[in-house]
Amino acid sequence: MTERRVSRRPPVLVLLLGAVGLALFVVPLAGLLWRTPWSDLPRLVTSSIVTDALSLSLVASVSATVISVFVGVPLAWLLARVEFPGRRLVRGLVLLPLVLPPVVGGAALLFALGRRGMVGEPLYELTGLVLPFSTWGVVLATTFVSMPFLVVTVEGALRNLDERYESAAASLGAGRWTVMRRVTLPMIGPSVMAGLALSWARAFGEFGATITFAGNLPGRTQTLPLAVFVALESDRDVAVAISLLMVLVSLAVLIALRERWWKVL
Amino acid sequence: MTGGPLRARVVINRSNEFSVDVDISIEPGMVAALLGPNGAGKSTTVSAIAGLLPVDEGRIQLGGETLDDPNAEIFVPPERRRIGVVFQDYLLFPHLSVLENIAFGLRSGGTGRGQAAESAREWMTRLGIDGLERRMPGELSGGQAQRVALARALVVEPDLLLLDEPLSALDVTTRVELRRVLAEHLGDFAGPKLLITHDPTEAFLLADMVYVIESGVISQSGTADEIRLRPKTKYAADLAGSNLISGLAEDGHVDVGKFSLSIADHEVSGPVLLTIHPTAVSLHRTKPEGSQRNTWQTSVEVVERLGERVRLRTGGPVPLTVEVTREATDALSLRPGVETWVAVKATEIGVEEE
Repeated sequence: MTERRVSRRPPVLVLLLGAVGLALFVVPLAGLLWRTPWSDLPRLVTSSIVTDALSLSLVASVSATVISVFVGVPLAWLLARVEFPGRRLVRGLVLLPLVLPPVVGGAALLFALGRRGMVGEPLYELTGLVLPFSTWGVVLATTFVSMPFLVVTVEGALRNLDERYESAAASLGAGRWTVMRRVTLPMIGPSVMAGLALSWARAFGEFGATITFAGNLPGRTQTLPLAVFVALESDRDVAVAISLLMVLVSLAVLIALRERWWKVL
Repeated sequence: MTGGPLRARVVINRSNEFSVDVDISIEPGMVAALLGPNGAGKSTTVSAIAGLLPVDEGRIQLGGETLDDPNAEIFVPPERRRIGVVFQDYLLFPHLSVLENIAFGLRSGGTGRGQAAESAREWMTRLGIDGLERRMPGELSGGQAQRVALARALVVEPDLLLLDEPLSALDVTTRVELRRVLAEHLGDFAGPKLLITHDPTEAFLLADMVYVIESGVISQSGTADEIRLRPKTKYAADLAGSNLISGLAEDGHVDVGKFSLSIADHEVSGPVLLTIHPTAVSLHRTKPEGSQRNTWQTSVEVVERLGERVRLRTGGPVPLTVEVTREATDALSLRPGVETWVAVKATEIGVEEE
């Protein structure tokens, strides 16, 4: 007697290809763990090169995320809610950093905001402020690269939000700010958080735009990814330690955000 | 400034194909229904009155205050109009509790947290939904959500109540019950009330005055009876369609005034609403024979041609709207004043408990 049942076993080919895909993520991680000098680790991660880079990375990525919230959410709102000529073009410009090689982004920042740049020169003459090769330069380059993630996520959420809820709030006497604060933002809250997480993660790992625009000065513009790159040439153990540190920080963020925010993506 | 009438002339020209030009007037305490098919301009009219869409021409006045008048360059934004809206699907804020939803309007108006919560609780008691304060909208039944939406709209003591398809989100059984709940609470509200619906039963039962809207214009207005007895357009005739008769049921019979109708359902008892479709009624020259039939003799009052079909109005003891073919009219020489026998099968009578 044959059992009438739908086979639960996945096709072999799909299984094989999927396993190769998974190996692509697991093998490098295993290699990192295998190469880690465990006994030396405490000394390595507390060396000033690592702690300086870690604090700079945290400051830069958190600053970039905060800036993204203050200017990126309004930008997303304009793109989602206001019809203006050239809106598609503006959206394209906002999305460009997502696909642009970060080095090119860094170079573009340099031409615009460098000391001899289009905006940089008058800025320097007026205020004496020099952005490239400064911590502010790191923040700027990082924001340039990471903000689109937030804008895209929030804009999508605003588009999917039923605007009639906002009408309902208005009919109950809520002015524009009250509607925004008590209805719009809370309703898209989960998406904003997911966008924040994505954009922060991108900022934390930023390399290309930063090294091009802000350079690689230890203690001033050398973030963790830059420190890894340098250490690979000089002291491999330090490179491994920093890499492990970044894996741990990223993992911690993933775990903290699991369930609650990832499912909206 | 409570209790004034609504006077609204709403003209909106969206495009060449779609425009709305309606004139609606509602006295305080009265319920008017805006009844029409989908796409007739009901939502557009509601949006204009609520202030979500400015009118291109016309004027909206509530209690003597002008809310929208392009000629005088007056436009009061929605948040400053004292209009309570019960939206289609209710649109309760999903991230706020029931109590926070109801208190929302007061909080937006600057009332303190404690005072707003207290007023919200009072309204919950009035609408019989106390105990649900901390529930989230997703956890409510259709009936509870409707009452929360009503409480949320009424707690700010608006001068006008707009109800946009308030029953369409519900299944048939709940709808009958909630129509009664709605009728009860509508009576308590002193201002003008405007009910938007595509359901003639809802309009005829809840409204004092019905505006029929078709293709952006009011094709007919009047009391429910006026529209039912003298429909001016094919649409009005179709929706006026079913005869609605209320009565008291007991043991397979329903007392409707001086007459008693047999129905198929022997279980039902108490107040009921009967529906008889005009095509389910037959007319005869002599007393018709047959079981399961209600028959009585009466006279023809009104005869109206609707293409190949003829719509008649018969007199007491149970006045009915009847639709028959032209052949039948000719064969029975049905004219106003002619005596005729009416027959309705018990199985053709719809029974709804009230």
